[in-house]
Amino acid sequence: MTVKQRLTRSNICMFLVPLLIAAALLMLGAGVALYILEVKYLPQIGLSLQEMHITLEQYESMFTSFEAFVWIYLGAVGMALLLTICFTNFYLTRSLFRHISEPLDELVAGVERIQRGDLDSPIAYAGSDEFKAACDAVDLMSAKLKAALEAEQRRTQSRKELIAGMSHDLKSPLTSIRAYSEAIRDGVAASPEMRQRYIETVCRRELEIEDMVNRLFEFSKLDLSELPLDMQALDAAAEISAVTADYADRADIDMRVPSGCTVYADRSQLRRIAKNIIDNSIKYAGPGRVRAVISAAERGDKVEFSFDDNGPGVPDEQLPRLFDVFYRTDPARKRGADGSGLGLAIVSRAAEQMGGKAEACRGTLGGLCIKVTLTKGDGRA
Amino acid sequence: MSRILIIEDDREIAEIERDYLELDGMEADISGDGVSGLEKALSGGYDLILLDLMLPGLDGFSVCRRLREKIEEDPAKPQLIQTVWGVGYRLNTV
Repeated sequence: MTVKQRLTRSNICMFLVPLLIAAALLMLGAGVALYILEVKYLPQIGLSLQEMHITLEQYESMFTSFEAFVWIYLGAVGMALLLTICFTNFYLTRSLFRHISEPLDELVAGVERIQRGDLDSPIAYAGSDEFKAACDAVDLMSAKLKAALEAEQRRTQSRKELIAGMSHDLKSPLTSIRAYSEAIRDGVAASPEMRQRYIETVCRRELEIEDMVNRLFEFSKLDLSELPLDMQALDAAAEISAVTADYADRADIDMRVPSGCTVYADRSQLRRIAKNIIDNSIKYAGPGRVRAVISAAERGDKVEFSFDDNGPGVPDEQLPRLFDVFYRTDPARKRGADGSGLGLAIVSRAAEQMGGKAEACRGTLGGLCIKVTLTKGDGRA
Repeated sequence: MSRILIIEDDREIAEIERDYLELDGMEADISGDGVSGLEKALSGGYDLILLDLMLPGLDGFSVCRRLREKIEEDPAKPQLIQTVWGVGYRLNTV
């Protein structure tokens, strides 16, 4: 049964039930009145009920026209009352049904749009009745569904880029290994020195592949949240200094992280973040010696690390994509050595796994600045 | 003696190519990017150009297109395009 049929039936019932009850009560009242009259009042004047009826019939002709008038009047009033009730009922039912059907139609249309895959057209119900909660819930569901789908698309795209990037980056060292191995086999090396150089090349490129696979493994673990983290309050300056010490011969790194600055992090991942960012600065360094400034600023219960370099920087429109796997500002770059293409993606995933985030912006030294925000050592929940 | 120009940004690949060519009695020069490779190629004197496709600065397709424009007077000059994806890749399209 439809809502409209239910409403019509309930309205008919609302009309008939009181009418029947009123009729029953009137009949009961009349019966009781006659009984009291017969038992209590008529004996006092020496009459029975039948005698009173006969007496009244004798005078009936006197009241004939008056009685007709009373009946006609009562009929007219009853009819007017009946029509008023019917009209009011009909009007109220129609109005009520419209107030139910309109939001229901909007809700159904909204759900049908979602079924068709249109997640950009919310119901946006303007009313303030009970249907608003239902419409808002559907809109919220649609927004969450859209966000989930977009996240899934990004993940799928990321996987595709990962596979394409890995395939490409593995090709270069594999081609070298094959070429140099075949050259050794074919006796291309004319001297022992050349032969030694070939063998060293094969070994070096094999190590590149190994390093790449290790990074891919680490990235996959981070991406799937499977890497166990030993989260603890760490002395940020000490941890980052332990990393920068290895770069003294390759870069001028100005360490400005204040002593006493603590961060809630996994030691190896914090060091990995610092290492990957410095590696990235060295990899894309411009002419001249690499300069970098590492600083930290406390923001509430967070601490924001900034890694500034003096490299060529990255165009603004490419900054948000720097953390994508195998994203390269120069598509011609082909060397997969030292894990290029995964370094900053690992930074981003590691920061996220530790409850933080990584962002890229223009640096104060004219190059790139990577900002990594993590929870303070004493700010953890 | 045949002179060959190798335009290839992977130094190790370029060197092994040169070693093979020299073993066969040819003379080979190496250029590590598209721009310098194009300049060298245009300077003339090469019988064959081994051109990589993915190059920094100017990619192999662009180098090939510009080379073709410049050496129309000598269309017989052979070119071979190679990438790490396989020698001869898209040879017919350029």
